[in-house]
Amino acid sequence: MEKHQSQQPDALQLHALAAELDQLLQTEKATLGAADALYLQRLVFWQRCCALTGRLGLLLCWFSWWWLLPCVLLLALAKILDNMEIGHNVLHGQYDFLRHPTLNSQRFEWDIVCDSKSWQRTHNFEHHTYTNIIGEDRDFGYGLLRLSDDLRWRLQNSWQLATYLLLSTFFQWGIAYHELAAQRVFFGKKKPGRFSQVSDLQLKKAFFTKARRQLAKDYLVYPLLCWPVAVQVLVGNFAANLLRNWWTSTVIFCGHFTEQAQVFQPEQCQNESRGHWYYRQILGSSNFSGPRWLHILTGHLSCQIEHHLFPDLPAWRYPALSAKVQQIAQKYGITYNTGSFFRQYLTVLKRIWRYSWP
Amino acid sequence: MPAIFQTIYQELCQTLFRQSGFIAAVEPFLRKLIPAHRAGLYRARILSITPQAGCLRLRLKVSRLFPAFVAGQHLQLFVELNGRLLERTFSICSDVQRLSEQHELELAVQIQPQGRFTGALPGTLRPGMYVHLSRPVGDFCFMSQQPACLIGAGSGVTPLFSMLSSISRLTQPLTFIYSFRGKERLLFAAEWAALQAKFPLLQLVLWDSARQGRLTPERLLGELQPDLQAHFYLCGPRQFTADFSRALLNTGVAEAAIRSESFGVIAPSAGETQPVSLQLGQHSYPLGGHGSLLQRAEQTGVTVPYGCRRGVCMQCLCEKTSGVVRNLLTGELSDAGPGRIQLCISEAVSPVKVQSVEISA
Repeated sequence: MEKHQSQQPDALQLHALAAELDQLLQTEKATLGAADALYLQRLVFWQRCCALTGRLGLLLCWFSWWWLLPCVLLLALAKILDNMEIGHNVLHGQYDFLRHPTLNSQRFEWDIVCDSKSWQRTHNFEHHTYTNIIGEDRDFGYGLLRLSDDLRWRLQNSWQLATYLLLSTFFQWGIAYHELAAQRVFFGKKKPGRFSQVSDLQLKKAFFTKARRQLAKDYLVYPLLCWPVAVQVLVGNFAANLLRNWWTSTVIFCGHFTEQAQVFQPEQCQNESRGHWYYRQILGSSNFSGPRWLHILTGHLSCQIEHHLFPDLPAWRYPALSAKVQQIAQKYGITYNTGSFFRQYLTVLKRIWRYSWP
Repeated sequence: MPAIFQTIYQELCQTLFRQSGFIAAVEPFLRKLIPAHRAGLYRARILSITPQAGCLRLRLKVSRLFPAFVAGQHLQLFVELNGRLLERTFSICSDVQRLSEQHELELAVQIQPQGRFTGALPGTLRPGMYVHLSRPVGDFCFMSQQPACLIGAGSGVTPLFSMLSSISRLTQPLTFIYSFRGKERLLFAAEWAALQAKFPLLQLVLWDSARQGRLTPERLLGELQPDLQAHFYLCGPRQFTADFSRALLNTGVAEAAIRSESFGVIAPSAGETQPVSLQLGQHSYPLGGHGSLLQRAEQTGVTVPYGCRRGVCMQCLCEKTSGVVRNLLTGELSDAGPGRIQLCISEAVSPVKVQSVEISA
């Protein structure tokens, strides 16, 4: 992996880059409107259909355990759509301009143990502002994985491939605990000078409230509601959560931890210009290509570069923008990292393996 | 006991659907069946649209569930414009009997050709379409026991017209003064004669300011000589109601006998610092300082949530209730009505009111 860009664009070029990307954003924003409302409305309708048929279908396990298979897939699909294409994007405020009473960044709550407000603080703010800056973007390796030589090698890194699989399996809990880990709410020494807008008490309360509700829903209320098939429903919910965890973590790892995704030093980014911020977003992210259904299943995080450039633009518009962004990146000699899903994922695994060793 | 059930119901809805209620949870399905359904709002079918005096008179059919109103109250009209659900406040101008008997009400929407909301209405609304309404609110209400003097200017006549036409039998003298500029700006032109014929005790003054000159407090007291013991109801532009209530107070009319409602058109005045009031929970803070609204809040010592400070993370998103702001990233001006803004990239170009977005439990 080339760690330092050979020829970084100078300030003037960065300024021009910012102007071009801003222009692109403006033209796209001018077309926002009824199409976005319709897309979101249809999406939510189909997501609810998947959830409803999945949950009702689990009752058929009364006749045969084989019904578990299609119903778990439907339920997992519903959860994936809710978390990725609806939740992630709505919580970014992409659809706030529609002024929908519940589908907006302040009110929406998703089907995952992570409290949406906590996620907004760590993801929308920390990760999107300090993308791939060593020591500032805690999403880079999630404080568990070593993915660059900038981090000191420790013994626990030698089995980090196993750590990764474990994280992937419990991914929703990882995200839910993310902010509490950063604030050292339960363990560890407080980091001096770390600023937080919310107290530890509020963090704990939000965490336990959301976790309690999610656990009660999947493992208590729904199984009890379907009493004769309670065990099957419980198993089905567990499996759907598991599939969702694996899928989301796989997609997200492909976004920033591919072999070519670059990291940055805090000193490079002090008082950075808007152009440099754009430049860093392109280099720190990676796309993967695929059919439209794949884009939707990833919540359009398959267009991670476009998402990081324009985080508040409705995500379903990213694939259409991708060619133009690629053209602009090429013009300024900035690597635009893309490839097939499997190729990108393979490089993620390679990277985790490579930095397992000093 | 019902309070406990309510809590359990809400917790169950939050747990199972992450929604405040069951209706909100099934809304995507409901909207497939009834496309015009919107949770929390009343839908209304447009029966007719009549342009009159620079206004659109909208005759609306509402459902039986629509709550009764008191003449003089206003409501919010929601219209979906290019996917966005936008709303503005309008007074009901029809009478209360028409709502209870025919489930109809009428709004007179003044069209501002430059306005993002009203400017788009003539090209959007069609008879048969659905719009949405909030419940009627407001305490600008008529009390028919005392002699009264109703003074309206421009489209400010709408709530007064509702008050007048809602009266079934007039037992006290009533003065109704309506100031309008030119014949072509006269609202309810066809209805005045019938009202005059219906109420012998009504003294109706249709004041055409294009012909008779501006109606000022001095001319009101000098030429029209209203009964100063009456209750006064004023509705019009902010300056109009302020001038008239001051003049009436000076002549000895009791403060309790004057009720007024005003509306304002805001002229953006760039360059100087505009007053901003920020409401957080129960407290309202006037913001000093200069720069973005977020910077001004901080300079004033008010703690507001924020994140990226570059318009990305949406943590400082607030509800603007009125006023015009400039987007510091795009230079774009907002419209004057309610809307969501990010404090970190918004600058006030007119007096602005913002409040934190209410977050569901």
